[in-house]
Amino acid sequence: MASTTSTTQAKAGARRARSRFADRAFRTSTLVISLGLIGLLVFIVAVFSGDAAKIFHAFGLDFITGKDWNPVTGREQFGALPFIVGTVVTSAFAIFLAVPVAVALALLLNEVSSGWLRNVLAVFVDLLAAIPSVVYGLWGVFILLPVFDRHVEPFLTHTLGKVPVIGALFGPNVSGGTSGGDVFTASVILAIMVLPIVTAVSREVVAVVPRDLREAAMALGATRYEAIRMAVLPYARSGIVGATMLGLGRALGETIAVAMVIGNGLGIHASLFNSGYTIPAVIANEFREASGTGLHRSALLTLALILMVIALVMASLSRLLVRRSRALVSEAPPQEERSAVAPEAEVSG
Amino acid sequence: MKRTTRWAGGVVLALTFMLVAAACGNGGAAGGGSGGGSSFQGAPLTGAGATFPDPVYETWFQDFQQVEPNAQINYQAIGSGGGIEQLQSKTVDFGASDAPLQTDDIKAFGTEDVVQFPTVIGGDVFAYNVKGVTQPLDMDGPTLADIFLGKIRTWNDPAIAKLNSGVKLPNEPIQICHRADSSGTTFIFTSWLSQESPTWAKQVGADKAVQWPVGNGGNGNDGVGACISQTEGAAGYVENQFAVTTQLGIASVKGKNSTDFVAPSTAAISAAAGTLSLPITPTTNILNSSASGAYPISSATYLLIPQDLSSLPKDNAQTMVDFVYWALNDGQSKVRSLNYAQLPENVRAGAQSQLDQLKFGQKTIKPTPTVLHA
Repeated sequence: MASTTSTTQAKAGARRARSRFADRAFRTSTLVISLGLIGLLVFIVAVFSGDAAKIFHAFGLDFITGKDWNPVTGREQFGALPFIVGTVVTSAFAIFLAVPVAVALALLLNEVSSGWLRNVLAVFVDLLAAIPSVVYGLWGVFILLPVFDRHVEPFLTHTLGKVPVIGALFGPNVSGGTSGGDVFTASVILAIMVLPIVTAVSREVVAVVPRDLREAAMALGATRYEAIRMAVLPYARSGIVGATMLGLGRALGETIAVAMVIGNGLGIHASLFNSGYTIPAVIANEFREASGTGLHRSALLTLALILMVIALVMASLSRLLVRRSRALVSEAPPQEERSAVAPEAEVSG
Repeated sequence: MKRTTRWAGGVVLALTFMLVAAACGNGGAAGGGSGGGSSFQGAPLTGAGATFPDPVYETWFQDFQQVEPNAQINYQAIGSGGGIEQLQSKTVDFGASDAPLQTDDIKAFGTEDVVQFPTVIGGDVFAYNVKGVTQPLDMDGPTLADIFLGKIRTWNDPAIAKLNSGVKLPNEPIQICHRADSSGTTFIFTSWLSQESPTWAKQVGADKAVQWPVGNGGNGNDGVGACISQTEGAAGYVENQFAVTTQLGIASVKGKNSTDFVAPSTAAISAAAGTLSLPITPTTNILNSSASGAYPISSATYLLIPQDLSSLPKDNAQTMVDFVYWALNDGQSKVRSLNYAQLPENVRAGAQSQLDQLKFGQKTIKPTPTVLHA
């Protein structure tokens, strides 16, 4: 009896030693990987900052506020404002279009529909994510753009264009005709492209909302819609914000599909029906022949750095938002409920 | 059991094939190495550069393999600038450019001399999509410059109407489509506009990419072509070879030294190169060529080959010379079927005589008899 205990103990000790070693190995390897990742980011920024220094030395802050982008040798002048505005506007408008649809889809998949419809819808949304962006671009140029140019945009100009304040966004094209590529079409394409990722994450988030919450709301006499509004959505809010930011990241960096439909024009206009330009699009269009002798290449690399800064600001903002809404939510459900649905808190603790 | 045997048999068979193929390959290479034997087999080469002549070059490389079976030429159409840079950094054996080497480029090559061989001639055309206009429009330089400057904004503008009496032009806005990527096509077009219009030269200038006063940018000839055909009232410039395969309207153009409106055709573009003089200098161009029947917005494209090829293995250097000789002779006859314009005879002969400049150390490399009699 005693000997059995001691062998069991010895075995347990060996196992513990082994698991201690495994723990250490695991910790070291994860540390190395994450440090490597940080190192990579620092390396990229360091490489770009040399060029950025050259550019800011030549143009100062005019590089950010300037509207001229002239790569002609001998009269080089680089201002990034049209690209910054184009990038932010297309991404923001795409998110504005995509998030309500994505949340509605997530709710539909989790709360409303059941059986075959849910499966079919889920597969189709995931399929959207598998389509390469260049295919979206082609589809945009040859199918979406002509329809938008001839029908959708004139219609919106005649209806929404008359509404005060937001009407300016839907004013007519500066040339007075069709656009042949504009910010609006690019935003719609982007919205379709970010839809799957926002939907997928939102769906997971809505799925982990505890059943008790819903049932409690229903028991109090709430309709299904009221239960969603009062119990499900507040609980899932932080996750949906996270999903949105993930989508925004995708939208900010999307290159080829945008370059194909946005018109690649330098002007900054109030109306979305004019051509625009984004940072990834101009880099993709111009890097091939950007000569190393002039400032053109440095200007493009500096644009890349600015895009990274924009993405960083967005990511930090999203973390702030998630933390805030998590704090708001944590006041609502009781303590034990929270720990039950947030196992990651236990692991980290 | 039986299935396993059959499967194993398949593997053995496949291996045998591979071995035989490898043996044949070796035999070929050995034949090439000996050189003096029956015929020279060629050796692989790599190049990079201009996108415009890429379809011609790819066809040439394929057909040239029928002359020298081991001459596998790998060409990357990454753009003229990229081709020049890769040649400077010695990552490719030859480069290709739509523009002659500029003074800065030549400086960057240091002591190394590069011989520039014109290969084919291209032209930029003014293409448009205007409802109801079926006959080719006539355009001159100042009018085109004003259109691209955004000064002429509608199709029935008096300046356009004056050149096209008898054509019913609609009161429709002009939508400009231009290249968004840097390209030799843009360089040629803006260079010509700069010659034609002092305002253009002062306000915009000429380069592979410029700051366009108006319009939308498309990526590549296809992007601009799509922009024009998708947009009512659109106009832009594309490579002639690209334009003839589309349904777009194409204008006849009058240069400042001419009294005629010339329609872009491979013959008219070819004719423009009649005034091309060799050797190529940084300012070489055939815009507004004085040759008779010349299309004014034409330009040559060049192969860039190091004058001293001794950094290559001998067989590769020989293949390079053979290929250029072949391209300037047999190759030229294949150009027109691809909608490109071939070199006029005087330029072709001049380019061929430049072959003497290619050396292996001190020794001139002569084309092999196989190529001479191909």
